[in-house]
Amino acid sequence: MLLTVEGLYKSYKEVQVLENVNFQVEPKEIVALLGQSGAGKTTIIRCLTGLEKADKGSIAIDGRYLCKEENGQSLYPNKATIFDIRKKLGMVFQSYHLFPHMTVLENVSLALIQVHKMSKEEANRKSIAFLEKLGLGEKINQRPFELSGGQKQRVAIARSCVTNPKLLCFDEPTAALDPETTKEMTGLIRELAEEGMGILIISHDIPFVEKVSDRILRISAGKIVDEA
Amino acid sequence: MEYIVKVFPQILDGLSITLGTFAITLILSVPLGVVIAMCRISKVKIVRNVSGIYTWVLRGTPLLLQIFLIFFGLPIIGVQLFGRLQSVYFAFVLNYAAYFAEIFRSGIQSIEKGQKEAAALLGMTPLQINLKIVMPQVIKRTLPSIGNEVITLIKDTSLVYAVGLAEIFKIAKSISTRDVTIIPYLVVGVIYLALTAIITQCINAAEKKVYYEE
Repeated sequence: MLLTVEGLYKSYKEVQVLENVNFQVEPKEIVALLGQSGAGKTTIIRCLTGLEKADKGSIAIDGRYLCKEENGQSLYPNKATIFDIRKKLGMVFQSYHLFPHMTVLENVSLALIQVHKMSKEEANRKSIAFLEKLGLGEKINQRPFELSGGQKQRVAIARSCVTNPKLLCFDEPTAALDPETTKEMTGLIRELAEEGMGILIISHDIPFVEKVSDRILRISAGKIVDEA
Repeated sequence: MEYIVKVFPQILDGLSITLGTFAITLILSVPLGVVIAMCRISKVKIVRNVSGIYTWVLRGTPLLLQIFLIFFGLPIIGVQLFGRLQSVYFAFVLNYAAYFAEIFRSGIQSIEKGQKEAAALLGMTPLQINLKIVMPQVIKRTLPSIGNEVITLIKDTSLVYAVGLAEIFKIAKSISTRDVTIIPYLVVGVIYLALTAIITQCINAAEKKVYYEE
């Protein structure tokens, strides 16, 4: 199993945001978490990526625990282990968060050079190949402000995927896209899954998740209420 | 004209103190400002509070007062650390570091949290995130404010005359008193204008180099 979430609880001050969330994602599987704003979708993804710490419950990614429940609370490993587990994850944010001071190529090759200690030439070669695959071969020297919303998203996908993560998370991937680009995105996500990645999408776009997902988990008030 | 040619070299004699104060202040106060800015946004409350009080006091009192307190005040309480020139450098560095710290703090805080999170999820360490993601953007965003401070600094160097150091303004004042004319002041004004013109050109070039659209 690629991702296992067991009995996840999270609260902010007095507000219980997640309550006993359980689900799994397998390799090559596309799972969508569908729910209204405020249902707790983003909190789930933030807990999975370690950006937020869960109060209770366990999260295992590719066989390693990001957090494990012991004595009624989630225990986290040291920072080095969390960094290591994070390398198995990719995340495409709703507002992309591309680095505006870097070109498209620099955005994509950054992690290969800084984190995976690849030479600049090798990192550029790999990044360009990836960008060409996503139809961005002519944009490599442009800056994020010169790109359309769909192009920015593809750069964000390239940036997350170039390091070969096992699990790719999307936060509201269609929120800023027109119908045509949404259709392209559906095809692209399917391709990524076919190549072996597990995909977790959080969205409130029902038609999109129905088209793209293998499984849909409906979430309401911090609980998974339905699976389809 | 003949008079100007005569007094110009005399005034220029003070340029080494003016430029020395300027350069040393800039070289030392910028890194100190970065450190104080990091303290201002530290997660440790006491560090945040102490650095907050530092910037409040140093920005809240006149630089001239700080020069006097360091030069005259420290020896009174038995602290004899510095010579005349070093006291001035010390006061300038402490004062300007407080201003630079606030500029850097606002710059650092203006970087979207999401960018830092995206970098962290790419596996980057906090040091890498600061060096590769935060600082390049902070430099771009804060350069105009830093430029203002640097121009103010070159003019503030005239305050060192207060402890008897012969920088260009002090020399111009002495010549003016001796010869009963305001021409030395005009000469010194032109020198300041020339210096600020050079600084402005440097800052404009730097801004152009780091510019990108957001």
